[in-house]
Amino acid sequence: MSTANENLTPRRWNADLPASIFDQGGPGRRGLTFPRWDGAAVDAVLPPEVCRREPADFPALSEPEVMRHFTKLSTLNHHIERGMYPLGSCTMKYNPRVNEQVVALPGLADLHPEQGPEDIQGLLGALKLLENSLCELTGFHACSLIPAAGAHGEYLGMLVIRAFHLARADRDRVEILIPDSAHGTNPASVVIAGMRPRTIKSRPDGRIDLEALREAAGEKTAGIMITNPNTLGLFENDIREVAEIIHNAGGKLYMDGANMNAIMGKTRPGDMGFDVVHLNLHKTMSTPHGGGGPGAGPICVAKELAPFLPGPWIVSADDGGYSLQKIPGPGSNSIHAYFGNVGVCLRALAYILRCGGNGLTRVSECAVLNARYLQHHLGDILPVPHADGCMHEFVASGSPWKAEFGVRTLDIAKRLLDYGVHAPTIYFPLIVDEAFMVEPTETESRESLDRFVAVMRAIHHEARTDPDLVREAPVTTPVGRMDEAAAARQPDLRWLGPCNC
Amino acid sequence: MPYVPHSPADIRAMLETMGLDSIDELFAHLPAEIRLRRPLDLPDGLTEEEVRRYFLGAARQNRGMGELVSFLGGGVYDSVIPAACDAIVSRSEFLTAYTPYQPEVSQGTLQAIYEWQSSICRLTGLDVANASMYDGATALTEALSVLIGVKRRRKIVLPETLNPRWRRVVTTAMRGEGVKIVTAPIGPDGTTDPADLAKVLTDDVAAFVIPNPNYLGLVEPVDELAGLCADAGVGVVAAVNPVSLSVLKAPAEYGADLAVGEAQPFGIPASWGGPLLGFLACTDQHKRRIPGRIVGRTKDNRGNDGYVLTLQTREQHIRREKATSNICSNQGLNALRATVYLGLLGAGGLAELGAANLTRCAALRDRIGQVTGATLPFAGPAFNELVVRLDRPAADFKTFAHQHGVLAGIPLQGIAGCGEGDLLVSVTEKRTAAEIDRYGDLLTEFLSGKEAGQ
Repeated sequence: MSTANENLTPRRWNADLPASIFDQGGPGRRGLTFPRWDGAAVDAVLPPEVCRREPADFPALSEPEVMRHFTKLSTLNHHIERGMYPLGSCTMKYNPRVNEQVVALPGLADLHPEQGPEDIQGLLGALKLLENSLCELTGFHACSLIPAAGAHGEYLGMLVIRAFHLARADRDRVEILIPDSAHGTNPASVVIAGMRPRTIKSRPDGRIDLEALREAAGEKTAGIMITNPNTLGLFENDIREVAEIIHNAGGKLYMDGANMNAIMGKTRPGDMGFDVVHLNLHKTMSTPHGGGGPGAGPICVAKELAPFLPGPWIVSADDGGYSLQKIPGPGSNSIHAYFGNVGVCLRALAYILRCGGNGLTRVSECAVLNARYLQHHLGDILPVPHADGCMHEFVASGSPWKAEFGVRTLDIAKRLLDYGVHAPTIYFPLIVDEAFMVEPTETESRESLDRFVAVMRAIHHEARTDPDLVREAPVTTPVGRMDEAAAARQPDLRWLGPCNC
Repeated sequence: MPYVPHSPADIRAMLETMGLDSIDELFAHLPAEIRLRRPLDLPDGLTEEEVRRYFLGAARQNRGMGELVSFLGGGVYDSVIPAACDAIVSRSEFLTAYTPYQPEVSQGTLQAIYEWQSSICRLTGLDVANASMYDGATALTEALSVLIGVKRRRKIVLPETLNPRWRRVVTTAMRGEGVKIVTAPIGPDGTTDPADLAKVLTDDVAAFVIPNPNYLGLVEPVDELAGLCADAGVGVVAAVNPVSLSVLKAPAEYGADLAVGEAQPFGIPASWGGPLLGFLACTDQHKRRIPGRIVGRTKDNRGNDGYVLTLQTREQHIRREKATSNICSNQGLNALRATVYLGLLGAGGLAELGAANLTRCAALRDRIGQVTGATLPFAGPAFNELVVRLDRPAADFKTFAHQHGVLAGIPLQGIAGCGEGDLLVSVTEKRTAAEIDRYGDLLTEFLSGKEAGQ
């Protein structure tokens, strides 16, 4: 047991913040040079009135200094290869390395977006394969890979639904129904697409209230946005009835596919009655989060919405080749200068090919298995208010800890950092008091899950016997809790000092 | 399934601890009528080597800018990508980290973003920059939304010289917002004529966009245009190529409220147009209105300096339907690439990079000037791209040059008043004197009708 105990001792993070890069280096140093050029001087080419007056002040560093600076910075980060990331709704799974390798290949990474089909047959074939794979996975007819993020997919989905209604001269359908448990981006996406969100109260377990839905649905209903499984990790069992109500009212169903990783190979949005879904490739399809992006949020749609997808469309020709069909005009729903985050899409394709249909199904099975395993083994110290049928994640409540020990969910989350575990998602969704949302993902081993359970028990013990220890956490990390109020009150958003160049 | 650690025995043992017999029980509550009753119609999983082989095959069917000599630009360029950029962004610590919502264990990402914001502020001369946006087109759209909110006016003016792809993205967004778009026409010299702009700057206009250099590669009369906007109480968004900012006037120097652009040339693979790196900067007065993540420097509870995501009340997870943007990500890894790139470059390198683009473009202009049948319709200063006017269809030259391994440029027919013979040709620091010379030779050969089929 000695190894297990050792494993449960918080240890100091042996790293300090480096100086700002603007405060490093020295005059005359350089990390990047360009080929010699014997040509005209700048002032022979540009008249002085168009030139910059004050040169931009940048530091001068050599390549070794730059490498050391950013490598030092990197050691201050928690990351998937360091430890678990039980971050509910974010799906922090392992990011396979082969994905990174293939996307960097010459012939893929060095394609200019103005190159046409004659130069990119291989790329178009790969993207078409991804489109078709996502359609099969979701039960839909057509796919647009263009959205560069989940929220971008929501935006496009809303534009497509709006365009569908407008094409039928159904101008007054501007209301999108959104359960109050939804992600904050959902209502924001509706607004920027030119429609109005209408909040509908959900039942206490976050599932849709059919009565409230029947009352809200009507001639103004453009559609509904639903996350399924919902933000509590629960499946909407009445989804077919929801679809019937909305379709009878003339609306369309949009599924936020943030939680698609729970249901692959088990059920499909298209079969549930949805008309549009977006997928977060940086969640379900294992592409890296990269400290906040880039991700990708392609959408798949039912047949009657396909004409409203933005171009260019990748079209398969009879000879096995591919062409690009432009979709001209102001109604083109263009949302990106080019074809979205192609590099992220290729990583996702590598993952899908590696997993296969059988493997993707296994992914969902084990994502749910791991979540249920944690829920089961933590149930006595972390109650889950809406526990029936949790899928790939569960939302526990820290309210007993608050009542008994005066320790808040935030404190538990911060103490986890001392044990080398990333914090879970906390205080979301809002409908659970002291929410503590755990999503282990399928790439955590049983030992890793057991350690998480042991760590949570250790923190529970600390909260009971020495609550200040938990309230003051983290203590081993490079920095402690930040003064967020001061940061917002007196924003310091850029380095002001001069450089030594 | 290689990325799931569990063996069948592990799974059985885990189920057993929960009193379950099979995985199926975990899904038993899904309504029967929506269950997928067959396996997914996708091939079985491949080995890693098979995946690699598939992509190698796909890549071989393409011809990228490593193989062809590229004179393509229009917003994305064939730029130098230092090995250090690749090395840093492939570190797990940056690659596999989440958005830095837990600052105690994310100082690396946070400090890097702060240094990126500082870099963009220094380049543009403005006070505040965010952590990045999807692409330049999105950044422009968001900047315009900021000014529409500030000015409480429902009309914007876009110049005809704006990148048409960016204009399309703005158009989609403004349709949603119900904002009217008016066009300031292109003048005979290929830039926006201030007199024409003055005519459309009515008192209901919220914002005007100054693209500099513009889509045709030309330097706009930025001071006059911005001055007219200031007189009319109209906000100014500068849409700039950041590479040009070492030599061309910085947006703050002509009074822009916001500056946006595409930072792909700072070490980011073109990757058929994505992922890219939009940036957005503004004056201090707009800092609480701009979208996207922002990192600030502050103190921790131990009294030490550190970094944290800040001004979050702007964001949609707080504001929901009152939010003016739905963006809740940044292009973190690409911003990191650019920050490493700028670190390698330094002030000296930045000046050299700007000069390298500018002087190669001047050399291209000289070379094309020697070709009979090709003219340069616009005489004004250009940064790294220019319009060539052929007396035959530009698309035909594109095809001809392609047969000789050269990506000749972007045919401009229908864009900014350009005709069938107009071609947008770009150069970067990567183009050599020999390649520029060869471009002239190909043009001569094509226009003299010596090419095949004539």
